Amino acid sequence: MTEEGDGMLRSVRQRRARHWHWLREGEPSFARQVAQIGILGWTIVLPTLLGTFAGRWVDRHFGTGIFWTGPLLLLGLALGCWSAWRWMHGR
Amino acid sequence: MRLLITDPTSVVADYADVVSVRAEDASGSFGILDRHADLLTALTISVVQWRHAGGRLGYCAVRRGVLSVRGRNEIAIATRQAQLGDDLDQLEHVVLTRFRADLDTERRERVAATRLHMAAIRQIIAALRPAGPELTS
Repeated sequence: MTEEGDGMLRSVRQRRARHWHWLREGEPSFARQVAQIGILGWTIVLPTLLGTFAGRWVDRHFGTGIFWTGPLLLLGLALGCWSAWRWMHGR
Repeated sequence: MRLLITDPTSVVADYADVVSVRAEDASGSFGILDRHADLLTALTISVVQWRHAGGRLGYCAVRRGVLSVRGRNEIAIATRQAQLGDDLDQLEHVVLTRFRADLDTERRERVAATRLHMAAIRQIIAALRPAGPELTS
């Protein structure tokens, strides 16, 4: 294919290339999406989520609103950031 | 939904059975379904794609343009140049053909303009020649 043509032709070819790519690869799988967040992302996200769930559980148990959820969420976040920091410096 | 694509001289497409439309502006690609809120945006040089009620797809390459959604179910695209195609391969062919034709026309026009220019100069020189010796340099 010659390299002639202007933006219009380029945009058509780009759209076609994307269409082919989509036909070949399909939608990215769930595992791939998870992997895209990366180990560093999960290091931060997981403790935060764990803290939140623990806080929700304690609050439901004692009926204290969000008294425990908030602090535990922040604690989890701090823990996650700290371990991410350690992981980064360990490399 | 109704989809209306117009260029400066004609109505390129007017379909009443469109289910969804995809287009591109400076912020990227976006899709529009029925009962979308009113919207006005400037399209880039891109391919507009839509789906008819039967599932058939339609494509149109546009050279920039303005897309507006009005009354929840009417999409109007006003563009400088639009080329329809049934699929992307055919669209590429159509766009390429048009591009070559435009290039050819431009070249021919340039040649014609130069020829006209030369003829005019020749006429002027011929007309001025007998006027005096100082002009026949």
